[in-house]
Amino acid sequence: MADKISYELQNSTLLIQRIQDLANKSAFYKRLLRRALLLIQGQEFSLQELLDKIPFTLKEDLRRGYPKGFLACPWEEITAYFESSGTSSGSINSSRTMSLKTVDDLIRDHKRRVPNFLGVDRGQVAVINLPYALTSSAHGFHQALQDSGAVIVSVDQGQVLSSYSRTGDLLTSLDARILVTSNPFLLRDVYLYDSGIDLFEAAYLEHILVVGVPISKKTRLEVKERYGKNILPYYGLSEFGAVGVPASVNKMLVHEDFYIEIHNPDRPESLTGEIVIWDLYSRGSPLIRYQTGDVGEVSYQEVDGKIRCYLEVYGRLKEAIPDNEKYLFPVDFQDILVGVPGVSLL
Amino acid sequence: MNGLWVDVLEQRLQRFNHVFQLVANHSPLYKTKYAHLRGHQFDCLESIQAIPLTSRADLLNGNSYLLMGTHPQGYFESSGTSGSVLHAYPDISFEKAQAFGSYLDLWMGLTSAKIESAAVALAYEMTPIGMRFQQALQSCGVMVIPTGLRSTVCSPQRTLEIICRTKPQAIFSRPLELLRYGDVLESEGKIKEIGVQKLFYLGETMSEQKWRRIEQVWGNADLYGHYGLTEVDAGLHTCLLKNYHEPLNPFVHFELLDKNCNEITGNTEAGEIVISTLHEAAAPLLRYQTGDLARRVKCACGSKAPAYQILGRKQDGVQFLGQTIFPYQIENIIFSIPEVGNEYQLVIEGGGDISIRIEKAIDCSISKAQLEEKVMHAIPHFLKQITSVEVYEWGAIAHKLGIAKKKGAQFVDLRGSKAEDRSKELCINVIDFAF
Repeated sequence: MADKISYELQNSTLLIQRIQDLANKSAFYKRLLRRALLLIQGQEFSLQELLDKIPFTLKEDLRRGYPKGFLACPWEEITAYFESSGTSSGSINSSRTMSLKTVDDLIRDHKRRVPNFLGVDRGQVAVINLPYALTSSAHGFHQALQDSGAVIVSVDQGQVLSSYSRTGDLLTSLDARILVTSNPFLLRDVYLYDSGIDLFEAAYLEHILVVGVPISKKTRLEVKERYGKNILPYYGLSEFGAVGVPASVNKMLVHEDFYIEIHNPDRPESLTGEIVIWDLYSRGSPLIRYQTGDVGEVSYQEVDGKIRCYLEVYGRLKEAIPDNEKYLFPVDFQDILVGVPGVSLL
Repeated sequence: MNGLWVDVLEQRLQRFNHVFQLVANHSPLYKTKYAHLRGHQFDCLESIQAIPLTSRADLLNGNSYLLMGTHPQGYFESSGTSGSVLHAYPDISFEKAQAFGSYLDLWMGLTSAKIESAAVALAYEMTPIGMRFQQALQSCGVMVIPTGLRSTVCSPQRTLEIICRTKPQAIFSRPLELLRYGDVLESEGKIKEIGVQKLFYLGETMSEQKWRRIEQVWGNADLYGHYGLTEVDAGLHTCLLKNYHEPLNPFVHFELLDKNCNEITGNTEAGEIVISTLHEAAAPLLRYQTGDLARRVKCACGSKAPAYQILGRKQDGVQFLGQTIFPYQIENIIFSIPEVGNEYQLVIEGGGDISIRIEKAIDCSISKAQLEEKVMHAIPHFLKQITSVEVYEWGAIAHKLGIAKKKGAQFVDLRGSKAEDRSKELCINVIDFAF
């Protein structure tokens, strides 16, 4: 049966190995995992008992531990530095977090970015409308799509020349099949206003890979039904690269490089709550039990004998609006508005 | 001519013949252009002058120069700062980046200087440059911090904050930003603690005095420069004596042509740089007129490859009394005066005269009037078209943490502009951040 317990069981050996590995190699976790290590070295224990011995890793820890506190490899192997854009709190002195990557970390991330079902063929045009400055997503997609044979168009985002109009022009004039962006609806509306052309009706555009902004399932399905375009959400953070990758229009798979816990202090057994990430392999910024500040819901399914974890992201915890016993997120309003004639999804 | 260079030229000839046949048969542009020469073999590099030049207009209005049946790895565009936007299809493979990394390492001595980290403050937007340097540096073991250029995600202020925090030992950027960032950090007394050892620039014409200033403001870090174009995907690199050299490889060939398209062989006459790309690429260009002017120079650095002084873009020059004046010439004069700050503006006024807007250096102790007099006095006779010098306090011409509209070392041409638009035209930054 595919449920939380079977997902935990399937991954428990990996989690224990990761704990032992980081307790040996990472200065930060050496201290933090002492109690967990003692438990592992002792007799029987449950995964929950083990987790109870491991404090969450916070963004603040990451900032305090920079640059070498978290490393699980020699410093000489670090080859890239990224930061979160900090757009959720302003660009200066914001809640930014930094991450370090080895070559292997980067290659793993690149491999996660282009799932096979996208069917990227040599010569197909991919427009990357994400910021290349500081954050890792644009770099990851650039390299991954290039490796898949796509023709890369690095239109960037946040650069003074990289306007939505320019992105729209390039998408249409180059017959792009893939668009990677953080807000397809804003791009579409601005371009529609500027040029009168609806990008969702662009003949060649098939996949819209969305990073950084949750888009509700209902909205994705509505766009698929109405325009035939696949809006494919990714879930990632600069600290990890791509964590959740599309399995289809209506499903996002947690890649097996990661293990996801849901943290909900009020209802510990709930499948909805704050997303807590274990990175199972990275060595530059090897984070486990990392509190993301994002809220989502997990579900499980057995595929080819393996329990897969799927994730639906709702938004930032600090953006949540309390509504009786639950919380409302921007995607909930998106659900209400989607399909209403004349209403933009901005 | 030394043996190594003769070998390189021999290989270039072979590659030229190969690429010529390739484009004559498979490039829509060259199929037409070279129809009368198809099958021709060139027996020396001098004889390639028989084939027509490729102009920017050919790329803009003619058939595509992308080889038929090939898929480019990327589609890029020139920034358009020197005219219409051109398409470019450079080789962005990892192998190329790796080879470029080895070249950078050897040239800049990254490994020997134990350079562990570098800030890449170059553009990634529609240009292969940012990713090229990112991958090249990573391939030689340098940790890269991609701060980007002209970015609002990583604003100049944030770039400096990151530089202070991460203390990269090398910075790759444009001269304009290197000077601005250096200025701000120096004014805050942080340059020494950052400890940058290597600086790299591209994208701007460099005067000797600007070179000296950049090195100086960054605590005498070593400065390296590159000349190239997005559509060409190859270029010249500087030596320790600040001259630009051809690469000692057979993958690109340079010519310097006079107004009548004859090869210039002497060392004084200025001419247009014409480039042929000779590597296997999706869109080779043969005898491409860059629109950039240079002159050959004798260089005592010891390199076997020919050396050049880059003068600037053809359209950057202003005609006056039968002479062409380039921004770098004026820059060289004003930057030789220590009391002048690093931000300046050269303005061609409505009537054709040139005025200079400068700011005082941080530690300038003389008055504005004295500085104005000093600058006017330093201007040689052949630049007497310069009629006025406006002096401002340090930081008053433009916010150093703003994003500049265009690269440095260019004239602001107000001829044909309305008087009421003057202040708008003179605004250096496209975005100003509080400083």
